[in-house]
Amino acid sequence: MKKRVLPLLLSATMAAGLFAGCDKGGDTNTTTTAAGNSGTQASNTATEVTAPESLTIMVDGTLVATTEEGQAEFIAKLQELTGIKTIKIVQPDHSSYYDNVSQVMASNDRPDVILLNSTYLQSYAGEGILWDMTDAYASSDLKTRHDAKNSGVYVDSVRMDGKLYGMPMQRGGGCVTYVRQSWLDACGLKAEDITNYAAYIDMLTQFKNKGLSTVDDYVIGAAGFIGSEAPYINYWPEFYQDAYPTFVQQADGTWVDGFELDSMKAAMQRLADGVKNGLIDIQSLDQKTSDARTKMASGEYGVFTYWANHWAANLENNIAKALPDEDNTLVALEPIDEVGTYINRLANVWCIVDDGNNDSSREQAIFKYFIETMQDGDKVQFLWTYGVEDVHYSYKAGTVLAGTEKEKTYEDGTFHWLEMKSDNTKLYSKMHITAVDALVTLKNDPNALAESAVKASQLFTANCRNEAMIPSTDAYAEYNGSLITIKNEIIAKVATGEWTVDQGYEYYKEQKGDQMSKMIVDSLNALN
Amino acid sequence: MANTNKVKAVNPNNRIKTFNVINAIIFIIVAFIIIIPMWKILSDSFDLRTSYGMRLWPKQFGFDGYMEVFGKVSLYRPLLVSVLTTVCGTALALTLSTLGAYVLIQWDMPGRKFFANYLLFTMIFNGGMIPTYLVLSSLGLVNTLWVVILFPALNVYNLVLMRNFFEGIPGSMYESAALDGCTPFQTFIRIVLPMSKAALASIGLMFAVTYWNDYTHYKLYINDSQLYNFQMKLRDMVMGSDLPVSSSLANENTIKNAAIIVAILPFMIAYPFLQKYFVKGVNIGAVKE
Amino acid sequence: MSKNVDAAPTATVAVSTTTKWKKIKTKMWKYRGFYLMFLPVFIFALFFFYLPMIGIRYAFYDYNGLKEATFVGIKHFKTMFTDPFKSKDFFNAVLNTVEISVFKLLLTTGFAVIVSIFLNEMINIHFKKVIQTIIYLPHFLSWVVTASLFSLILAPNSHGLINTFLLNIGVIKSADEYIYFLGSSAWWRPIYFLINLWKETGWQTVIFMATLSGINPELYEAASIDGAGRFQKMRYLTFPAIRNTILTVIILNLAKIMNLFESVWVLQNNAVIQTSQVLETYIYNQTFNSGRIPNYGYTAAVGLFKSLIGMVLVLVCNHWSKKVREGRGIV
Repeated sequence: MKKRVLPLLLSATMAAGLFAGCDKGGDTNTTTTAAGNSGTQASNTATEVTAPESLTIMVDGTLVATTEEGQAEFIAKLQELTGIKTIKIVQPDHSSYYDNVSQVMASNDRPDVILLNSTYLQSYAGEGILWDMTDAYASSDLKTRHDAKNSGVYVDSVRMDGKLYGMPMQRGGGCVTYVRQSWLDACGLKAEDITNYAAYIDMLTQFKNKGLSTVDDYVIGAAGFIGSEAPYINYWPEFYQDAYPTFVQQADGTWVDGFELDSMKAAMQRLADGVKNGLIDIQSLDQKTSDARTKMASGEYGVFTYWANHWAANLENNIAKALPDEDNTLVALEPIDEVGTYINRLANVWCIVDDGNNDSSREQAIFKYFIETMQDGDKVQFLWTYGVEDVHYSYKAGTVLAGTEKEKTYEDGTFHWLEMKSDNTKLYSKMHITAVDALVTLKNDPNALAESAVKASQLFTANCRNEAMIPSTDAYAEYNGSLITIKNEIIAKVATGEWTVDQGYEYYKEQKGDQMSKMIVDSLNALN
Repeated sequence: MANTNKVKAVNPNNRIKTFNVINAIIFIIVAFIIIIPMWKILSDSFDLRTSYGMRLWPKQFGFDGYMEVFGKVSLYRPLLVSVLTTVCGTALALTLSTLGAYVLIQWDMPGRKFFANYLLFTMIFNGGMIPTYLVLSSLGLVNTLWVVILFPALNVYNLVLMRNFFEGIPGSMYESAALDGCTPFQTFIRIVLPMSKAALASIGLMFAVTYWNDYTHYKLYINDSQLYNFQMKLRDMVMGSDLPVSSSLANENTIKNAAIIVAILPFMIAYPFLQKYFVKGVNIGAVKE
Repeated sequence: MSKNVDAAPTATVAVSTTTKWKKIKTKMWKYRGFYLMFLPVFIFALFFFYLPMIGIRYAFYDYNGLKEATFVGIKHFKTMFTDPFKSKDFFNAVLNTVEISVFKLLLTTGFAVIVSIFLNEMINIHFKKVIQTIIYLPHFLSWVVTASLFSLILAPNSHGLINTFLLNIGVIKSADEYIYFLGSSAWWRPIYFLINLWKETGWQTVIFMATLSGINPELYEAASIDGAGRFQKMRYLTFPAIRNTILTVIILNLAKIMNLFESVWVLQNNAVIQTSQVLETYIYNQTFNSGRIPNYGYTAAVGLFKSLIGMVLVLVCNHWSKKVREGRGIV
């Protein structure tokens, strides 16, 4: 026995020593770097804000200029236009972006600017590590540019308690319902006439009865009967209508759980009926977005609710490829009366990481030279929207051998996208900001988006409302995970016909969903 | 029933034949069940008109999917990264596994049990995502290829399997090596390794596949797309939803399936060569005790 | 054998500790080469596994990666086990994890052993090689691809190969009776196991085939001369030869049993959540839907709980395997 003690002790002390060392080292490092970062700027409290010397940016895959798609040129151009001397972009893999964000924020090399979704915006702002840009925005030129285009409402939608911790660079976007024009024609219908639920269902039924789908089983489908993230219901607006499966604030400011309202019961019944009558694809339960798109492209679905903007053109192109002999025109429906408006998602926002000292001059400078310039309506916004000239787009005469048209010659002076560096069969189609969704009008905008995409986008913008941000309370953070799981299970089982609506709500009570919901509602109301 | 009666009636030689025939037939059926879904991928990779559905023969045959995959300059670099990390990683991992396994069969060595538990403990307990990142980052490994080569190299599971093989080497071998005056390391190089070809081949294959298929470590510890491997690119293709439209004849599905096949190809080619090491007895068969 | 020699002097009961130490020192000196050889392994484990284990302490802290961690004692364990709303889901997930992964482990290992033994009997080497190559191929498909492949094959409509087949042979009468295999609680688990068998059996045979290749062919010849039949040889020669490997594979996998995630995650959907929810998917859902950045304290606590279960399973099985393996555990 004893002979094992020595090595054991040895390694135990060794390990313990290393642990302690690492722990302490990590902590001190964090503080020194934070102080070091600000030190350079701390003494400089002059009223004139100068461009920061260096800037580290953390962004997800929505910035097209990755290292292999001309990031070096992008950075060089951005440095030249903003006057920031060194810019570094940290761009982790898109699908694990938030894992990486958590890791980097826990380490001692936090970025200066970071792109966040509303969940992380709320959490990080709540932790006090994001810089409050409310005042900087209120007195900025950016605000006047937003006012000029009535874009202030999109900025307001990401305010927390009136405070602004992140700046959206564009609208969040949302889904509209597309219908195959050829299917409408075959039934002698017009898109303008589909104005209410009865007409909508009648349209689906006619599609089904005429056998327009390449399969007999259904004419519409999507990925999931309920979305996995807010605004949850955006693939099925006509079936959910005014129902919303989570917390909503009523006109008088009080909160209710939309799942417990009669509107939700009716909505589930509509979904169940749709499946039972062979209109809705039951595989909507578990299929992936790409499967749903493929079914749309190959003529199984005639109706498909999907993202507005460039997806309109992409879907049409997919149909053209899969069914070369058929008319591929899609028409976007205006929301039917019962729906009223489509839902605009909360946009991702650019946030400034607070360096922790009490001097805000560095943050002021970042706001002015980075956040504001991104929406200057001029050269920098153009860079964020279209990329670098002769790298991502060009005005020079030339022939492009890629994209949908395959071969197209442009005259000198006309805008055209260039082939992607990594794949010369494809063309660039945006940089970071989608032109049609921008909050500030762009000078000299070449309007390079496909016509169908512009149309869908305009229809959406004219008919949308903003998703509301739900404040995070302790009860919400603690129980909403469990609650959503229960709700999703009920929606799935009712829609696929395993349960009736009443059975679903019995289960809801059985699982104490009503009690959890009440706790969250109470905590939200307590905020008022 | 009728079958057993028949078997009883014939002589042992025929019985062996019957067994072989039945055995072969069962395996053909098994292989068939495995092949059908795989075939669907292969067929779709040549089908320029793939759509949702269980079609097992291309509707419009063409190589465009593969031309897309191989024509992409952007895939050359990831392929190189994959090959590099797989080769270096497998070599390193085999070194560690064989060394560790060799030490773990020294049943009489003071501290052996501690070393064994020291390793087993790492299989069961771990520090979680963020602490691991912080340590790797303080070692300066994050965002370098070192992290994807070094981190997976010590695999206790494979090390223990290796030790299992080493146990099969007869003790007489060590005794004669000791008589020849070999040091432990010389014994390891001259006796243990040459006698464990089957183990090296099979566990080496397992490591190679792990390195080749790895994307978790790339996702978490590398954020420079210049350092991505082929699997990362493949996953982009499979999961990618926001693809710009291509001028190629092949659609999204065709290219995706072609890329899946390309990712399997190296092992389909390499496997038959490795197989000769497991097909007939290598180690004990060679020793006359 | 050498053990006996060492044990002999202990006959004198009161050996002073110093002579004992001396003996150990001599022995350690004798094994010095081996310590040196273990050094790289030791260092790798230290840096990549032991240093990060500092994170285990967060099980007793509230920690979000941003602020200093605050000590909260056993709060997270209390939440896991006693929260009136969440503990039921938690226990359901734990139970599901154990059920699904133990059954899956025994099933795939069992099938891999059977396949290996029968493959080993194959006379034609070329045929054997071809079959081996085919059955290990599915291992190379990622789970995402596998899931989409099988959701197509099992589709509850005219695309679904299985449903169409059932319709043709008359098991189901009409299109209305198509079975939604992946979307019904009754079918989900059997289907999940079948898909796992399809994907991993062949790959698991690699290790067993390698072990089998080590059997001395002379033993088979000797057995034949003694009049042993084919099945007797399988039973008394082939099987014992891989028994060690089987035990090792099973026990090592028990350590990781609670980590089941990807295969379940890609195949599960809202309608089968009760039967399919395992610990890792439960945590994922909780984190993803909570509307807040995760509390790593809670995740660390769950991780520690998982490790403890894994440790108990491994220790129990290791103890049992020592009996089977003449006193030697699997490590």
